Amino acid sequence: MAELENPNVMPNLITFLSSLLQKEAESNDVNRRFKAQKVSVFHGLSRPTISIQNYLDRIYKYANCSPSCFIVAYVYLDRFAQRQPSLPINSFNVHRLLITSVMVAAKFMDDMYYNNAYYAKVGGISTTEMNFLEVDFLFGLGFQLNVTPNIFNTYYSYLKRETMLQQCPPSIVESSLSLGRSLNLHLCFNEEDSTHQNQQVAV
Amino acid sequence: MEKPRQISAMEAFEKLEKVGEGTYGKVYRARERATGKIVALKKTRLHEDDEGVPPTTLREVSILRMLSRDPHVVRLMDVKQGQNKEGKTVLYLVFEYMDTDLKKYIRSFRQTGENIPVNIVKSLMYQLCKGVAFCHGHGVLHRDLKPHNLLMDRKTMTLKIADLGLARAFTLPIKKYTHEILTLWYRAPEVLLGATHYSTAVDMWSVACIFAELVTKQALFPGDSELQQLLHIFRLLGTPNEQVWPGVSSLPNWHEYPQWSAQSLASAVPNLDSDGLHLLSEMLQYDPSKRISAKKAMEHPYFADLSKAYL
Repeated sequence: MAELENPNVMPNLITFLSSLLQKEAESNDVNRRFKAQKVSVFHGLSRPTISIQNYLDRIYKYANCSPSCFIVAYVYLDRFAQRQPSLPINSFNVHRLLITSVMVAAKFMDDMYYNNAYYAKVGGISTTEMNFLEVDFLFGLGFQLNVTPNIFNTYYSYLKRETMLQQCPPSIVESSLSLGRSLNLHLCFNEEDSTHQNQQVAV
Repeated sequence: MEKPRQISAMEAFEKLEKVGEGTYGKVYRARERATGKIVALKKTRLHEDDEGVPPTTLREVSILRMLSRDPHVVRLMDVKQGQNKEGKTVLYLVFEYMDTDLKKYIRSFRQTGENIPVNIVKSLMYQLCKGVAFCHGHGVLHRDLKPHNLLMDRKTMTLKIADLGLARAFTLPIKKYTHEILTLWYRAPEVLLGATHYSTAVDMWSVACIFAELVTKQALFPGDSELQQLLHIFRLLGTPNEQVWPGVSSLPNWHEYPQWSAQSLASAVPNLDSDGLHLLSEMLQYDPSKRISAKKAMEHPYFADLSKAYL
């Protein structure tokens, strides 16, 4: 996975991840009017003014964690959404979910990482709030933090493919747009299915 | 593992006695009020506000969520959130209760001067290899195997691996591992020499040290500093060189060490039969890539006469 260390790969991937989360949040913002969504500790009283892209760029710049942590954080967000269907990502909670998922990924994966107080500063919230978010996020995930290589690669290749499609010259974008429509762009890999394919890693 | 808002941890359990104290909090023997079942409660303070949930807890819980189904890994039954007297959040990890650990068990024999029966050593070693093989098969390195972290039930002589706080998943690409891990005595030479990319073989080195200790009731390499630890190892196994361990001289902490030649393992670990000595030597290979795996160890002739049906 040396390509993750390539300085050109991550910024593009971060940009794509931002747009993906933004689409997801906006679509759930619309749904909120029709379907009840629970208010959680992740829910801000107002919509944060910083864009998702700028927020994620900021985390990427200051967290200084292994690049893999961003892929893992994305897996966590997806797991969280699947386990907590009444708490979909929307514009009011996406920032808090993001900072928490990256922090938890870094704490789980890396031997050296910044503490909650540091992440709180990066995320623009208080340490007390950061700590609450962490515990709620962990229980929301049922503490399932482990990501098998198979799951990792499924998410990573999805992000990589979509990131590349976004950067293609117009003629190719044309064809990929129609492809994009047929692909389900939502965050929804069925982990149960993919774990079966790789029995030696995840039985 | 759901969020227990309705019933607090302290309503659900009656603390009976304190049985241990770890880095992040106390361990209690407790009774589950609803069932009468005896459990071990590991209380985790989150008192370091700046740190949040200790990473050891975070890793231990998520790794045990994955590994707890194995009979040779301690069973995590639940995680509960509670509050202490100051109103701060505490986490309780609810484990099955085990009445002793291998450190206490070995000590009890050392005190009476008896040896641990040969068939018991064999059974414990087999269970240890089986548990380690299970962890490794799931992509988890324990990194801190030592007698104290191996729980036992005296009645059934069951052994279970515990304390996975330093464990980690080794399969995803991450920044280099720290080498500030593992109790010195059970630490593999590649870790002592500063290797930052190490793997399952570090656990097998610890298994070897535990094996010898079960037989002699004394630590095999009781070093009190990193250098002393290396010299203990070199004195018994010979100072390694590029022939026995290609790449050793390029490890970060490599220096010109005193030259010793290898001593016989049989003299260091008397009372172990030739199959046992052969297995031990396979586990003590300097070159991590040549060190026997837990899975291969289980098939070693040393275990041939062990009845494995109940293990």
